[in-house]
Amino acid sequence: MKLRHHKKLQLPTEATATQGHSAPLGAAAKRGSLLRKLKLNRARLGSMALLWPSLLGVFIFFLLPFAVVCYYSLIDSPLNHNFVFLDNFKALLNNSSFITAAKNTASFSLVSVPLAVVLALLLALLLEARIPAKSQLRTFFLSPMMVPIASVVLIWQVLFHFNGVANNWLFDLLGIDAIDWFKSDYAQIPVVLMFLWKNLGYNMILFMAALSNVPQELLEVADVEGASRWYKFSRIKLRYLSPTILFVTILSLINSFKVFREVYLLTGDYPYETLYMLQHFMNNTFRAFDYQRLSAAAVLMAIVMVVIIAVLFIIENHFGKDVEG
Amino acid sequence: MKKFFKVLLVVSILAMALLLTACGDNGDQGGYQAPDFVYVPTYFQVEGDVTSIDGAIYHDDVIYFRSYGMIGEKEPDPRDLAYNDGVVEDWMTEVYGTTLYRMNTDGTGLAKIEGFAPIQDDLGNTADLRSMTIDSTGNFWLVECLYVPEYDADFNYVDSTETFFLRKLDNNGNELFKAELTDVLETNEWGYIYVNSIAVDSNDHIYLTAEQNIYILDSEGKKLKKLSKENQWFDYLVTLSDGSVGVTLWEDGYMLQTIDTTSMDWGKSYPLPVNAYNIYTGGGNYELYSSDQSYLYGMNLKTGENETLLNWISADVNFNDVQSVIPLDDNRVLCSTYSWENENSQMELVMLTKTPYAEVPQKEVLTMATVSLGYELRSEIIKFNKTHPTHRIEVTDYSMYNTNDNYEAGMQKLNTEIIGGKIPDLLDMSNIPIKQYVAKGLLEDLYPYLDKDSTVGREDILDVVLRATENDGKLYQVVSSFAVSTMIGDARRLGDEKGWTFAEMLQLVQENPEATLLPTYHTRSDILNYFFMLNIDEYVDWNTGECKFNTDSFINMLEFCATLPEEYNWDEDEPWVDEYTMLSSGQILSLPISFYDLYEYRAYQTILEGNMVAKGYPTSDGHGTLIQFYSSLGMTTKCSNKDVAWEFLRNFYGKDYQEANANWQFPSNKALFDKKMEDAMKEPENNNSDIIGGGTAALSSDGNMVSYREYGRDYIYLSDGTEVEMKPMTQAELDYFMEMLNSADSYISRDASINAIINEEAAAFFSGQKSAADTAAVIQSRATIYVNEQR
Repeated sequence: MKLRHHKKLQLPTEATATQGHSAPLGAAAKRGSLLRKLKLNRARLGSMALLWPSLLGVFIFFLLPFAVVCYYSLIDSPLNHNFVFLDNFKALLNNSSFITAAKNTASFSLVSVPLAVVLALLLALLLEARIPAKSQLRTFFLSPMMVPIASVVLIWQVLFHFNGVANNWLFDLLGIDAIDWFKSDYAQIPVVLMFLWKNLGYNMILFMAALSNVPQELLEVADVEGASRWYKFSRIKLRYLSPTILFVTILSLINSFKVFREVYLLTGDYPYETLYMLQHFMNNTFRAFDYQRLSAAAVLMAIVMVVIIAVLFIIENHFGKDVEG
Repeated sequence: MKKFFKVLLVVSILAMALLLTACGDNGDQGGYQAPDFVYVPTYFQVEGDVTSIDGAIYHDDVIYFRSYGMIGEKEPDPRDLAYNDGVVEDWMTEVYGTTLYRMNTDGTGLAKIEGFAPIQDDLGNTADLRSMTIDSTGNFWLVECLYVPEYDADFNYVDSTETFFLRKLDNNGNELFKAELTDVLETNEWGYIYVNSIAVDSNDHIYLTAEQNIYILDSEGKKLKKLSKENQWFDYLVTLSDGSVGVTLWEDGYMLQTIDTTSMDWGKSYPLPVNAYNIYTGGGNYELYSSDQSYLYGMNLKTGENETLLNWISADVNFNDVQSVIPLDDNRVLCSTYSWENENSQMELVMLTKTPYAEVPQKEVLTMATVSLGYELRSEIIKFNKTHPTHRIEVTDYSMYNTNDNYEAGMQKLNTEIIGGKIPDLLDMSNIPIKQYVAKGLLEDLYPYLDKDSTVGREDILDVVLRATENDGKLYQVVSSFAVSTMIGDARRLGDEKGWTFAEMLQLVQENPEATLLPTYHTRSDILNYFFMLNIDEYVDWNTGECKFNTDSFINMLEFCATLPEEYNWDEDEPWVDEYTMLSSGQILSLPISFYDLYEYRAYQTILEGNMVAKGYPTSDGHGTLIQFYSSLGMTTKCSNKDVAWEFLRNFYGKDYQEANANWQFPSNKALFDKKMEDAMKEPENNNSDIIGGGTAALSSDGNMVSYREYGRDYIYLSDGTEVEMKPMTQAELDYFMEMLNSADSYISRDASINAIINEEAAAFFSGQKSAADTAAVIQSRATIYVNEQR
């Protein structure tokens, strides 16, 4: 756009050119216009040439597969290719396993995502304050990211085993009988804890970066005006943090969908009901070669994700509209 | 820019159309791609009276082989007389042994290698030729074993000795060298030597495999070196084309391990195809040939690759009948076969010639997929291919894709190909998840074909078989034979009513503390899996997705299984007691059993004096008797020629096939089944006391015959040595059997996933960590998810 504007300033317009020199100038203007178009086309072609590998990649690896998935969700089987419109979606919504998986995934995300955002923000605020060993604490909170997932799963299995550390503590401190954590209605608790342990550090770093970008002048003015700490946080910092909150929320939401990996390693293909996630459903459906159901589930999930992210953008626009983002 | 996106859109649509069209096209011809070359068989007979070709060696365009058969006669010795009631008649004892032959590759020029004679001792015992090879100059090297039994004065076996010899013969069989191996080789931990293979390298060093050792000897029989690997057993030695030697062994899969002839130490190792345990050498372009039941492979040592050379079924060869495979220099493959299908069968040579596919008379192809091809099915396919005028069946055995790490890889590949549109015309459904295939609309309903067929109809097939193989009133599988599976007991203890619940079964156990419910060799996990497999419909409703694992019935089953031993420790000192005795004496109350034919049924009726009761497996509705199938066939909805496919499938309902192949189970053909029932009620035709060779005649020390068995009469042999004669089946017994059979309305189906969930969770209960109810609740939760996913 800048280039186009610049070129416009360089070239005389057709109107100014025709004012003094009617015929010869008109020809020159036409030549100029042609030249400009040619240059513009060359610039476009150049940018297209640079863009096409990426566009091709997006087309082959995203758009085309998604189109195929949409197609598969509307036919009866890969053998017959009969168009069945929404039958696969109706069957999917009548499938109790899918409903269970959707509910579990939603409840997990609803609990874990706000916690991951709020706790990370609190930690960032804590580390922003003048406390000792800030650097060590930062490293400490980031260290879970370096632990391989297999090791994390192993540690969690030991901690939450029927004869594990968590049950021993609960019995010693509160006298509660042993709970089979991963095979009971409490199964999501250890997974939420693992999710937070794994993700808080990274979210915290993002918030710390955002906090450092809050204009100091505004905070100083607020101090001079005698604003309370809560006022400064809610009216200044939170406003400037809203794009980061949106980003961290989306990131955490995506990560919450990816918790399947940990749950799968902990409990396998068919876990206790409360740990059965949407990705279990999709993974198992893929293994059973039921592409229609898999595709319908994927399309539904994509729609829900788009809606959630759109809602988050609307909220962010609403709260962050008066700050530069 | 707009134009660019328009072009992009058009390209997208075209690409998608192409993709989807490609999906559809692949399925039309069952994914069959004609090969460039096929092996065309030519059949011919061997001259003379050779009955087998064993250990064939291809050397200088001549085939050398050994054959076991009668090699002469001798005067009868006391042992022979003992079996003839001490009567000396005018007969001679036949002497069996090995003869060496040479033959041209076209089967002509058959000649005995006259100079060869097996090693014999003074008593007339002849040595057995264990292995043979030829060195570069054409001399034979043999390993022979002389087995000498020792008997006491009553001709009872006392002991035996085995002596191994190494011999070198010239090309006419004349002995050049002989050495006893006893002094050269080490004995194993039981004091024996066992040599099973020999090879010669280009330095004229002799290699012998003896269980966990390989011995390298010089040409004078002197030991040069012994090679071994920790806990490693060795199979076959082969001389490779470069004059080196390799040995096959199992080490993370079946491998060829080469031996460096210079350093006399281990060389490189090369993986062989999974299940290709038949090893051959010969001419041609490959160092080594191997075969499984479906394919012949050639190994290229330079690349380490095993190339698939031919499909035995495509070459009209039933590999089960193959005795020897001799790859020739000109890429032809010579096989000797012997079919056991009828008494008049004889050895036949088959020359397989590599021929361009285009030059072979063309037939339409029906494709068949299998993950484990049985003998009977293989024979039937070859018979169909040889006789059908317009079509032939090409089989893809997906077990070739199994790996040592993943024995499900073949099944996974088949599933993937089917979903990808490569759909076979026919399916061997022995290990196929039938319910899933039916749900995907992959299987053709066979009732319309059965109903319009003039040669076989529903009235020719047992109702119970059709009923059990139906799915929502449609027939998806053809079954030729079946077994009846139930739990039996003595009606005097269990009552004569069929069917029981777990609670009733547990109550019975409590009321009979002196007995166990089942033989003690049944462990808790065995029975849990077994009972669940048989009762799967009791706990799982596949139509509604409802599971009933948190019911008293399942909890009772868990509690019952917990009373069984965790594992069975075989006590060698404890006398063995057979199941007949255990059941009749009241040591056990019941026995899970599959009746494959009427022998076992009649045996238990006899031993329980007509009081056998078929309780079935414990269920809430008392329908605990099931029928079992071991193989079935189906047709896919995408079959390229359904009428011809049905022509093949209907054979399995027919008398001809079932008479030849369904002997070890009940035939599904009604006429044959009825005949089997009638025969069981008849007195044996040969009901006199003639003794036959296969009888159990024996002499006491004073020379009197103490027992004999009548030909045609069946006997039960008990562990205490007693023989109980079985009378022909009575009408009442037949009626009871039919009642039991007709009560079976479903067949045994397996579901590995639910079994895995149950086993995993039951372990916590068996270890005392959880209660049965808590365990059942977890199983209910996990299994419900699984079952609903499958709907």
